[in-house]
Amino acid sequence: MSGFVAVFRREVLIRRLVIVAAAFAGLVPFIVPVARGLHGDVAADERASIALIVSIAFAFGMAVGLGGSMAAPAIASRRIAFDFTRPLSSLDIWLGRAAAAWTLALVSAAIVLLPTLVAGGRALGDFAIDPRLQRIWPLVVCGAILPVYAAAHALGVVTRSRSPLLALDLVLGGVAGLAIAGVLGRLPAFLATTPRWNLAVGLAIAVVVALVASGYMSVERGRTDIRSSHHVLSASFWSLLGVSIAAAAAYAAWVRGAGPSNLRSFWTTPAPRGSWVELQGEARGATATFLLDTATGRTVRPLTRDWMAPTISLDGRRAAWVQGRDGGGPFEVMTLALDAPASVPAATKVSLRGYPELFVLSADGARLASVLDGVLSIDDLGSGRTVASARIARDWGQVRGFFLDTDRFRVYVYPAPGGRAGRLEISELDARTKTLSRLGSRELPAGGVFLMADRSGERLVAIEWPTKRAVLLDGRTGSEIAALGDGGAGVSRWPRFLADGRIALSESSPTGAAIRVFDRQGRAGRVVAVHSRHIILGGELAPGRLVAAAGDEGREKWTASIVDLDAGSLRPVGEGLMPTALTGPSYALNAFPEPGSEATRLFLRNAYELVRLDPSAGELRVIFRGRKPKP
Amino acid sequence: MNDPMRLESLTVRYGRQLACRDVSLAVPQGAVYALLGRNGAGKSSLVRCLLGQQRASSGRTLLFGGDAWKTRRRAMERTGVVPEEPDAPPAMTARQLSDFCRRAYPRWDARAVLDRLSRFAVPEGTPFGRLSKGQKGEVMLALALGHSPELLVLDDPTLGLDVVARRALCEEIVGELADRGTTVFLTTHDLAAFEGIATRVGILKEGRLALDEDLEVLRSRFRRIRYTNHLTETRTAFGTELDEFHAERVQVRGWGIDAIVSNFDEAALERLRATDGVENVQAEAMPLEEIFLAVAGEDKTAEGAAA
Repeated sequence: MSGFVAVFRREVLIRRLVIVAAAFAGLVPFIVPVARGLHGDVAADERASIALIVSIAFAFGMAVGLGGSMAAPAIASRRIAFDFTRPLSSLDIWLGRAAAAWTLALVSAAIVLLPTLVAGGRALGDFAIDPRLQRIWPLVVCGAILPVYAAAHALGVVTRSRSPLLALDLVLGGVAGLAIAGVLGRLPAFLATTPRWNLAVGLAIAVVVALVASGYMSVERGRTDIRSSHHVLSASFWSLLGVSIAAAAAYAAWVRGAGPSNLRSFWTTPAPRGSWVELQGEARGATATFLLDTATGRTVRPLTRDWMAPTISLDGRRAAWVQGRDGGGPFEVMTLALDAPASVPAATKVSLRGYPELFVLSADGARLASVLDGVLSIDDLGSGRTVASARIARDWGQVRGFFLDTDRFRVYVYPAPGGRAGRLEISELDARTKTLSRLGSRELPAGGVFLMADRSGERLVAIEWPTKRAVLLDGRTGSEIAALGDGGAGVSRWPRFLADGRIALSESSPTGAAIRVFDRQGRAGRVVAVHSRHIILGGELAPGRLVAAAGDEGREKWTASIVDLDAGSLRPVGEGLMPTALTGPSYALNAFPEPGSEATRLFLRNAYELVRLDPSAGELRVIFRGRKPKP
Repeated sequence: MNDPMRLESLTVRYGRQLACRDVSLAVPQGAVYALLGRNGAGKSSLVRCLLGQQRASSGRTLLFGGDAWKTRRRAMERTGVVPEEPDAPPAMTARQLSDFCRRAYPRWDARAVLDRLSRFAVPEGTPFGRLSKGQKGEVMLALALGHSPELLVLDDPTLGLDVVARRALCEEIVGELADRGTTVFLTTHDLAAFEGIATRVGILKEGRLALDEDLEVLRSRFRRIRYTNHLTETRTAFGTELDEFHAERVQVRGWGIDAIVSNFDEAALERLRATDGVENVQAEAMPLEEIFLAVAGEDKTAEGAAA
C-alpha cells in the first residue's frame, strides 16, 4: 500500500500544474457569454452548459493525455526502471499512476466547474437529455475515465513499440468489431431488449476489464522492454476480449436457443383448424413466439415482434408472419407450411414498408390482406404480386377483417377501445374488380366495441363498452338484427358463435355468472346458471357442448367444465385449467377455432402447462411444460 | 549458494540476435565484481536481467537466492542501483526523490541521503532534470545507498563524468565498502577508476563471458614480454617459444617480439631466457586496461606472424 501511495503522490506532485490549467479553463464559461453579448438567464444557461462541456472535455482530455504519457513513454525510454529498481510491485507502479491520472482528471474537472457553481449556475444535471442520466452522469464520467486512461496507455505502448504486431492488432481489432456486431446481431432489440442490453453492458465491462488488466500486464511482464510490453498487452487484451466475445456468443446462442419449455408467463392462441398453436411469452429474458404442433411436438420459432403474432389460415395449413428486424423496413413476410412435416420458414416475395395494422391470410393461405398507412392491399404470396389495393377511410382506431373467399376481403374499421364515439365502417375490397365498396356503417357509443363474426361473415356480435350492451348485427351492413341484452357496470360478456348458428353469451358479474343462449336471429333461449362470479367461454367440443372456465378469485383456481347448453349442465374437468380457444389469431374476426377442432381440447394449466383433454375419458395429458410463473 | 548474486547459464536473445549467451557467474558476499566489456557486449542486457527488469531468454538470474524476475520487489529492498542513464523523474528535486523513496522502502535514512548530497554539493531544491550529468549520477548514488543496501549494482556509473565527479563517486563507494562491507557489482568502461576497488573481474565479449577471475590472480597471469629473437631466419619472426605462456597478442616490432601472455610464470620465463637465440627478455606487469584490451580486443594473432 505504501508503494502505491508513493507512486500516486509522486505522479500527482509532478503534474500538479494541470490544476492551474483547470482553474484557467474554469474562466472560459464566463468569457464566452460575454463575448456573445448574452445577459441574464440566457447567459447563465450558456455558462452552465459550457462549464459542463469544458469540464467533461478536460476530464477525458486528461485521461487521454495522461494515459498516453505516464507509463508508455517511461517503458519505451526505460525510465520506468527507476520504479523497478525500488521495492515497488508492478501493481503499485500501474495502479499508482492510474489512480493519480483518475484523481487529476476528476479534480481538474471539478475545478473547471467550481467558478460556475459558485456564481450560481443552474443544476448541471438539467442538461442531461435522458432524465435517468441526471443522477448518474457524474458516476458515468468517473467510471469512464479509467478505461479511457487504459486505452490511451495501450495506444501509447502499441505505437511506441513499432512492432509489426501492430498490423495484427489492427486485424484483430477489425475481427473483434465484426464479432461483437455479429453477436449483438444475434440478439436484435425487437426480440431481446433485456438480453441485448445485458450483452452490451457485459461486453463493455469486458472491454474495460481487458484494457485495465492488459495495461497492468504490459507493465508487469513488459517492465522496461517496450516490445515485450506490447506483445504482452496485445496477448492479454485480445485473449480476454476473445474469451468475453466467446462467452457473449454462448449467451446469445443460449438466449436464441430457447424452446417452448423455457417459456414463462406465456399465452396460447390456437389455429382455427389443425393441431398447431401459437405460444407467446418470455423465454430466457427475450420475447419469444413459437408455433407448436401439439400432435407431434414439433416447434418453429418465428422471429417476429411480440405484438405482431403470426396469423394462421382458416384451413390451418399455412402460417405467415412479418419477420422482425431492428430499424426500418422493408420487412419480409415469411410463411411456414404447417401441413408439411419438414417444412422450414420461407421468405415470400412480399415485403412491407412497415409493420401492418392488419395481417390476415385467406382461408387457403394463398393470399394476404394487410393494412399499412391506411391502404388495404391483397397480395398473392406465391408470386408476390399485389392483386388489389385501396385506401380505406379511417380515423385512428382498429382495423379488422377477413376473406370471404380468395378474392373478396371485408374490412371493419372502428374506434379503439376507450375512445370517443365514432362509426363502424364496413367495406369490401374485390380483387377481381379491384374496387373497394362501402357496404355500411353504424354509429358507436364512446368507449369502444368488441366484435366477433361468424365463420361466413354474415353476422356480427358487438359488445359495446362500457355498458357491455350486446347487439347482433348484420355482418355486411352493420344494421342491427337483435339486441342481446344490457350488461351494466362490473359485468363482463363474452360471445361465441356455435356450429348450428346459435350464439352463446357468457356473463360475469358480482352477483353471479351465467351463459345465455340465443338463436340465429338473436332471440333469447336457455340460460345456464353458473355458481361462480366469473366465467369465460372456450371452444365448442361438439355441437352444443362448450368448454368453459369459471371461478371466483384468482384464475389459477378456476375450474374448467364442459357445458352442455341443451341440458343446461356443467361437468367439471379440473382445477387451474384455462381453455386456449378463447380467441382466434389476431386481426381476423371470424378465425376462432372450428367446432370440434383440436384447439377446443387444449387448456393452459396453472399458467405454465399446455394439456390436452380427452373428452370421453375426461383425462388430461401434458403436451409441454413451460416454466412456473414467478410468484 | 549464499552468494548475493548469481547468474546461471543466462542467455538473452532479441529475435535472432544474441546479446548474452550462456553466461554463468557468481558474486560472493563482500566482493566487488567489475564486469568489463566493449559497447554492445551485452552488459546492459545482463544488468537488466539481473535486476528483474527483463526476462532472460533462458537460464536464471538469482538475487539473494531468489529468481530476480519473480522476487524483484523483495530483492530491491536489499539492493541499490545506479543506472547507466540517470532515470529519476526530471521534475522532482533531490529532496522530493528522497521523500518518494522513504515511502517506497521499509528502511530509509533520509538524513544520510541529504548529508551525502551535501557532500557532493548537489542542490536539494533543483529539479533533477536541470542538474548536471555528474550531479545526476551523484543523486542516483545517494538514492541507491539511502536504504543501506547489501548489494550495490552500478551500471557504468562514471560514464560521462568528469575527473572530479568520478573521483567523488569512487570515494563514496569505497567509503560505503569500508563502512558496511557492501557487495558491489559494476559494469564499466572506466577500468582505471575501479582497478583499486575491484576484487574480481569478468570480461564479456560478444555476449560470452570470456574471463571471470579474482583480480590478483588475473594480474599474476598476465604479463607483457618483450625479447629479441635469433631463432628464425628473419630476426623479427617468432616460433614456438611462447607456447607455454598462452600468448593473447603478439606484435612483431623492428627490434623484436612484443607479446602479451595470459599464463605467465617465473620458471617458464627463466626457460625462455635460457633459450638459444632469445635475448633481452623483459617481463612487465600489466594494468587492467591492457589486460582488457588483450582479452576483449579483436586481434589475437601476430602482425606479420610466421608461426
